[in-house]
Amino acid sequence: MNNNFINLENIGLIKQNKKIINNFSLSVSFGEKINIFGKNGTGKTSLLKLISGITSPSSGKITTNVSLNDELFYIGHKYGLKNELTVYDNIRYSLDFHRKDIKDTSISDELIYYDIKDKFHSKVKYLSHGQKKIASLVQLSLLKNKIWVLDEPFTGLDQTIIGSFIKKIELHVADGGAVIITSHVYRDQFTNIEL
Amino acid sequence: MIKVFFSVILNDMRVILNSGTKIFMPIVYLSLILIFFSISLANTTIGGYDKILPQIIWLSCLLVSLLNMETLFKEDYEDGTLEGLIINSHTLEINVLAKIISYWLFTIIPLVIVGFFANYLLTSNIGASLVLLMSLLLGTLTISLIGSIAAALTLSIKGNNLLLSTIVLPMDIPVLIFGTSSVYNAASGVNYDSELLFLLLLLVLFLIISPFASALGLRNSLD
Repeated sequence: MNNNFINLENIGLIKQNKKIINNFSLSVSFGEKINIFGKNGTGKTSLLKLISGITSPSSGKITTNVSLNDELFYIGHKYGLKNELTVYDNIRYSLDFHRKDIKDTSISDELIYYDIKDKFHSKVKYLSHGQKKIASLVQLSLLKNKIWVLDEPFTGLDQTIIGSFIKKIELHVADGGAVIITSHVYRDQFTNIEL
Repeated sequence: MIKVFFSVILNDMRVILNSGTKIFMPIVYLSLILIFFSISLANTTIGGYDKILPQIIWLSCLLVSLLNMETLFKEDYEDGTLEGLIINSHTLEINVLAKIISYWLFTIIPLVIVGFFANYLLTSNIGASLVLLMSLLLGTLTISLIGSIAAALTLSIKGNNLLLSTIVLPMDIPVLIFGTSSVYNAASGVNYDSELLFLLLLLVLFLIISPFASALGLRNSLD
């Protein structure tokens, strides 16, 4: 248990006078794949935002012993891509922003892996919903941040892409990374925790 | 940190240049205001259009940059890049400053340059036009810094433009006063140093306050 990088102790979250999360505790260590499940509206997305440090809890404590700024990558319902820029420019920017030096060939390898090589120089606004999601997954796998926090990563993706992506997750976890997701599907691949 | 600062500026530049309207809309607005003013003032008996023109340009630049202010963080908020910025920034304040500066560089500066040329062409007073340029450069950056605080605070509110303008109004007034009076002084051949220094003072003041206040506002808006 001493391998934990993040500890949530008795977390509570109140939003617009409503208790959304009540006394929730969770510890995550590297090498774990965790799926947080629960009915719609139980605060799964809010919990992921708490873990990522976007928001802070109303009560309870979150402690972490890694620098989340460097190690965490979050993909929410919005994919964090600039509509006006091409897929390549978006990826380049996020690599620059994370101070990672990765060659163009690795970027195109990753695009080939997810089968959207032909969209390399298309503007994001011309991509479909699923393709935008794939572009954000490409960012995710290129950046190699150790902690992945993903909100409903499988929605909008087809079976083959999901298969390739789950392989990526397995590899990442085997490499000593950690994955925290919320999902209603493919739950048997993860350690499930109810919210 | 410096590298990240410049990568934020460059990325915003790409977004602004690719969208096109963000550069040209302010210029179109400014030209419209100038044209409408000249038409509507044509029949009045004021001592001459060129005497009030610098002030009109100053006021128009202020209004146009106010109109645009809400877009500063809006797009980032809607496409989710703001979340990434908050999570993965070592110092969010520096990156917020980078966003404000790129906004100013690529949407306000073209406007200011057009304002300068318009004033020079219509009054052919190069001295006063240069003072106008100088005071606009200082003033609009201050206005952008003030506006970013309000834009960050009102980010999650729908139809935030009204609230934003209300918050910004009292803080913009000193900038407007010193900006317009420096131009007026220059046009009437009086010393204008103190006005420009005051604008510089306001700029430094908000350069210090604004990144912190905006970063705080952004964090709160994503709650």
